Amino acid sequence: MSVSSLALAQTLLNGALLGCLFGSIALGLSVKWGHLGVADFFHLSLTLLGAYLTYSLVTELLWDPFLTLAVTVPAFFAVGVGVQWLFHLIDAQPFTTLLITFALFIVTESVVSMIWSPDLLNLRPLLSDGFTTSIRLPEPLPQLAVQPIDLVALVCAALMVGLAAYTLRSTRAGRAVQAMRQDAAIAETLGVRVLPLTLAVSGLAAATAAVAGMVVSLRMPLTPTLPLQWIGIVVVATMLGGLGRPLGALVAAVVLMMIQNAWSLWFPPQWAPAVTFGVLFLFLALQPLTRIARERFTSGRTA
Amino acid sequence: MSLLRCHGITKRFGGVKALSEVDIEVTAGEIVGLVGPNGSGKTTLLSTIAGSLPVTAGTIEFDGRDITRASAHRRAHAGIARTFQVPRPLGSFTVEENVATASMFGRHATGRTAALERARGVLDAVGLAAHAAQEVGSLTLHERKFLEIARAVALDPSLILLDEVLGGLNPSEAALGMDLIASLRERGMAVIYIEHNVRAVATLADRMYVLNQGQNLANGTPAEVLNDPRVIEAYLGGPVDA
Repeated sequence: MSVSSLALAQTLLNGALLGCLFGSIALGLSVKWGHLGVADFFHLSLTLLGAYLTYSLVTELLWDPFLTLAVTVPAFFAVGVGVQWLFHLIDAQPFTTLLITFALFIVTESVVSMIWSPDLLNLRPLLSDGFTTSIRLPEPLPQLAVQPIDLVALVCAALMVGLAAYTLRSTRAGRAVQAMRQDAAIAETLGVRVLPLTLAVSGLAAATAAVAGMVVSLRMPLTPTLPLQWIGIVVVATMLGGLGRPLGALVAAVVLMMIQNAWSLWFPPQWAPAVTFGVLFLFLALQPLTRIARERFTSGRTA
Repeated sequence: MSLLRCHGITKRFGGVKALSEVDIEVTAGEIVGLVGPNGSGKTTLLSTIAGSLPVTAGTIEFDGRDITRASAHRRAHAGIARTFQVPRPLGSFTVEENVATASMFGRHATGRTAALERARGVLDAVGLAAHAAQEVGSLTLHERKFLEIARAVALDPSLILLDEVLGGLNPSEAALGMDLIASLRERGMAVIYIEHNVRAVATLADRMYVLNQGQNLANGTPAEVLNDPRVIEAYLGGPVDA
């Protein structure tokens, strides 16, 4: 099947913009997994909750979608702090945190089904044309179009990932997080307040789920099983991007979604998730080989 | 007046009593040697003083304040620094970044630029200035041990807890290490110094404590301690016949 270059370009562009949304979701997971050692599946549930809360606030109270963040961001920050405080109280080991967050992941799906019903809920018909009408790109690519909602996803991803990356790399708090990540006990003896830091990191990571959830509610119809559809791309992007590396997770999500979308042009779309996991498999399989090659190269140079 | 006063320190790990009503006092600016056979509880005592391990019973006063329940970072801010028997550098930081971290978050917390400047000064003092920009993975054992000391000094403490910083070093490296420890006293810091080499401790220490099976066995000047029959028995299993 031949595919025009225009169709391919539009498909790649759509994939990249959808990848920004998944990069926003992966940001919180990457930070918690990389810096706190918590593989937090509940983060996906929080994103879903953020989407449903946005839906309810917009449809019931007629709030502007962006105004809902004034409620959901602080609320999710508190939830993130609370969950991390629980882990501290029970001195949870990584496997325990995995079990607890996975249990919360399952429970949340049921709770959302009970509160909002398992039916599809769609905010899109209620949105103004400014959100939904496609706009053409300026020269030199006037044939390509984007939806304003996707631009919202792009801006949110850029702001959150940029802020997180800058904070981790260039601020005092970021140095404390990096020290804590490497050896929390040593960081504590060097004066780093580890417990407040872990609570703040967890709270901020959860707060990003509120923003991502708001974008989700604008971008796609809502169903309680959405996290099961996201989990592959988000986890793979988190791992490919490097745990604790916000920019890496975003880039990986964008690239993966571009590949998935392009794949669907030539092959059955239901195989697209297999591509994502295939890339992860190749990455994991090649990692030891690249390490061996690097060590041989290094030792050869030293000798 | 005592800088540090530990009274009745007891530490249990399940059914095992690692420390049993241990007392120790340190005054400002003195070097106190802490010796004892393997498993006598020396490192455990250091960990309880640094806040890495909570005590089961007993009290710890530092600079006139009760710090028994204080977290490790509060003790670091109060002026207690420690090194580890097996060096534990922050692996993704360079040598100077490791030291600067202590300055950034320690007793007199500073910004990153000031912390890096202070770190270079400390590294110069311990002889690691040439390695400042290196990854810690490239350091030799003695350089790693000196990095531990540098990181502790960068906290600007009034008490440093040294856990076998000369262990595994060759004689010339150990001599450098002993000079370094002596220089800490000249900087006005008190030191609690654990070492297997009792002679090395006796050379540097103003006073010594001996632990045996988690209990105080003896204390006094190095001469008094080394000639104490109980200490000789604990180390050698009985009196030495001439």
